[in-house]
Amino acid sequence: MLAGRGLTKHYGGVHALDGVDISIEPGQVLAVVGPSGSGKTSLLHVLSGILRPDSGDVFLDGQSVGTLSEAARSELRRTAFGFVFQSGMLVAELTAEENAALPLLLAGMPRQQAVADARDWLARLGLVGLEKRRPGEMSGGQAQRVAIARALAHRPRVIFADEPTGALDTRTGQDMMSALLTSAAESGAAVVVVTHDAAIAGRARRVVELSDGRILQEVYS
Amino acid sequence: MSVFRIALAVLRNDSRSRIGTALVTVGVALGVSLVLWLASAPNALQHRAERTAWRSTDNAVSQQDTRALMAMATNSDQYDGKLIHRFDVALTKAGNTPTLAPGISKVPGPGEVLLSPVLADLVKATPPQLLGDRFPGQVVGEIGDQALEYPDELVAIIGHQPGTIDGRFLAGFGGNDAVAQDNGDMLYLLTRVGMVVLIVPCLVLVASAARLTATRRERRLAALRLAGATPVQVIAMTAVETVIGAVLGSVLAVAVAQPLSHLTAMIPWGGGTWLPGDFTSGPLFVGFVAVLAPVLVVGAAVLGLRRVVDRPLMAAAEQSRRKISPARLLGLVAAGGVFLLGLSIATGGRSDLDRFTVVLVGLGAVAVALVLAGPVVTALVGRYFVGRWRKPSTLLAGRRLLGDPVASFRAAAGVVVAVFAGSMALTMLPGLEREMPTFSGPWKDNAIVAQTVGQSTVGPHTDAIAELRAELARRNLNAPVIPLVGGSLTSTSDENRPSYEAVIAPCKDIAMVLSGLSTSDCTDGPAVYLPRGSSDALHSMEFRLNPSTPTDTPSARPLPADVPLHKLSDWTDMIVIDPAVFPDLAAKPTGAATVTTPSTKDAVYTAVVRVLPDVAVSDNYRDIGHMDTLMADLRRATAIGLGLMALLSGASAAVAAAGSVIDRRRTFGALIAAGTPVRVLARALRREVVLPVLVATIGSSLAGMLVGLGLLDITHSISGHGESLLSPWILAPGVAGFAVALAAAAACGPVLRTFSARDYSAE
Repeated sequence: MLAGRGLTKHYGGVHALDGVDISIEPGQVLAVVGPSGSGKTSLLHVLSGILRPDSGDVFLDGQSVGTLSEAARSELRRTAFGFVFQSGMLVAELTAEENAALPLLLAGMPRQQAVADARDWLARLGLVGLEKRRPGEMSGGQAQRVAIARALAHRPRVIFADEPTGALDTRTGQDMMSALLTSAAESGAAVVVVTHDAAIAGRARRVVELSDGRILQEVYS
Repeated sequence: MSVFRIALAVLRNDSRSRIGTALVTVGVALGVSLVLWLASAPNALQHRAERTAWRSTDNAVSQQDTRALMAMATNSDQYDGKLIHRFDVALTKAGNTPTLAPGISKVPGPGEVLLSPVLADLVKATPPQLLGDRFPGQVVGEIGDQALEYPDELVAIIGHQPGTIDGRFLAGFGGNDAVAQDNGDMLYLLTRVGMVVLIVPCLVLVASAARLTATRRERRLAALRLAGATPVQVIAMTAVETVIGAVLGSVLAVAVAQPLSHLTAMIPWGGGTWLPGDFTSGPLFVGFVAVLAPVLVVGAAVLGLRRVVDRPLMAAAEQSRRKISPARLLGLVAAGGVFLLGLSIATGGRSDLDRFTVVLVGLGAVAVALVLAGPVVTALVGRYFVGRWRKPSTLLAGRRLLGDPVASFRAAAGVVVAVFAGSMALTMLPGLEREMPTFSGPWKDNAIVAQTVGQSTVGPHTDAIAELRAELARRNLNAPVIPLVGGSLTSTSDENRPSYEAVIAPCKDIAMVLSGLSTSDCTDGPAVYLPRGSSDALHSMEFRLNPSTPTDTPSARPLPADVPLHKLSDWTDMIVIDPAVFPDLAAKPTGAATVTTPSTKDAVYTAVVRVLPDVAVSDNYRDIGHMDTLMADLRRATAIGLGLMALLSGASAAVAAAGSVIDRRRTFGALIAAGTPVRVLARALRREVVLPVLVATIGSSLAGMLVGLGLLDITHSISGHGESLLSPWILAPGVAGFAVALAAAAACGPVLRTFSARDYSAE
């Protein structure tokens, strides 16, 4: 479904990605691990179309992503992909349901339907009663669940999660990861999660370890 | 590493901090420059007053006083619409040596003339029968700048034979107190109003510049606090970061103060420009302002650190939210109360300049109250849109307005004050302009009226009317001369003793020059002609001659009971009495009206002045010209003030809008990463800036109108003119403010485009 072929990315003299070949199947959960500076986040950015690779290309269902315009890649990220960042990165002024509804609204869905769908996702993620709260009024774990709801609300095909548990304690991180994986499985979305945490990586069926911009090893469980 | 070094390192390594510091420098420089400029206006007026003090006759003595060394008659002429000040002087006794004034090298003797440089040039370039003949004699010198109100002023001092001038007796030109003149009050008021309303956008600009990096700085300082830095160290670091920009700005302002004062001196006021040194302030005041500005800016920055100092964890996590109390709206009520109190004091008849203090405090309070009330209005606007949004951009904007109304209003604050000031100015201007026609006086535009002919106890003019007619004939000027007797009709029965201006002259003659009277109104025989709408109860009235000197007791003559009264169909400023009613009085005219045409006016003026150099002359063009000058001054001051305000408020709005985007860089980065189109974010940001302005300008326009009406009351008490008149132009500041806000909001776009999807993970 989603594949990267011969991906390279340089920052000055640093090889963030150095000829990476990778593919992700529908519904697959892939963890990308490795030390700091190994190229994990760069791989996530390139696969999700945030960055263009210096060479190589990314394909979604066989269609080249690299040849798309910036606007088309934005639309792709808005419709086919979902994102969960460290610390949620929610819009501080919006309520939980408005944050979760944002991708639907951007896709042109009417307000009432978008908010109803968002509420449904929040309920699935155990956030009943917190719909009207703002991110600053919630715990870190709750905010990350809202971020998951936002990432899943528009039923994306791939969810990219960049250190989603980095700002959470172990227990909350595990709970959050369970919520992400369960919800993604329910919607059939693949998950690409970048993490330092071996316990989090252990929840994935497939783990790719990067080092100096290259795939060091792949482990399936 | 010392606190100072850390602050410098931040400036060296962080480009956004450098931009913030540069903007603080610009803001403080503008603020200090404006204060120094506007505060120097009273000094400039005083300089003018000191230079023209020699013209005052306040120290006049009696003719018999031993100090009476010379006589001086003070009059105004006009040539081609330009005002000329003329001073006819004569020694009381040959050999006297009156005192001189700076810029006047000598008292001109008989046949000698001193002219100001520009008048001398004008005389040389103009046929003598039109201008030069008014100053008979040899030009023996120039009047220096030190004796002129402004460099281009037209002034003449004409010497005469001892005992031939009917004027005030003086010891010389000097020794008078310098008192700022009539329009000085107006300039004083305008500059103070300008200072109050311009300082607020300056403060907003400085605050906006300081906020550019505030979020980042807060996080940095909170991290330092958490790492063990003491509150004093954190405060010191902030003070150092801020003081660099503020001191640079202050030094810059002081450095450019002198060149700027020279530029200011080129702005006309009261008929002319200024001397280069007029707009200067004392070194103590300059030093005070230069020190105060950085102290205030640093103080404000330090006060803003309370959260970091008290709760560093919360600041680091950016979790606190400022609550806005609706009680802020009460500030408007309080400020309105102070302004009304100031109005009652300012219009209460006190003559000293302090009477403006309370009204200026009130004006400042209204401006500040508008800024304080702004976030409340912003929150209400936000609440409205949060309840009714349909598009994500409206939701984002509405939530931002409701969630952080203080930050959201910051961009609008300067615009709100500018709209307030603009509405205030445009409320006042039409009212002042409307009064213009009433300054035309009683005479038609074709009349030149010598008012005190034949009353002089000195001089050779035994029959001034005949002399004037002969002079006009000698110059081949066909200009009828109408003898008249000026006086008043005063009631003897009414205890209030109402009095009406009156003139004894043949109706058909005076109809040629008196406004509102035409020859068809006139009848044959003795009669009294009353203006339309006046009472015809003229019983027990007596005619009194105008006093020739202030100490004269006018003789009175009862109006015959059987004299026919004719009510005119139009309004005239004076009652006309046919000479047949008082034939003995009419035989000794006290004035002469000369009928001119546009082509003969200047030549006739010259003839009149040549024959009657010490006689006061009435002329509509001169009086209207004076008011034209005043109105042009007001329009110019308004245009300059509003231009500066638009510039400052636009700049501060743009900086504040850009700052609010920078503050949310990571959030916007995440939204862009998730595929949110930049145009949606840009639209939301534009709405954030523009929506509060849209509502706040309506409020500030209304406040501006109300305050303008109040200030119009004061100008009425200063100059006697100024009725309220609202025009559609009153909406212009609101529209302009909205346009400025829109332009400033556009500044968000370029800043937003510098963000990338990867910025969510930036520091």
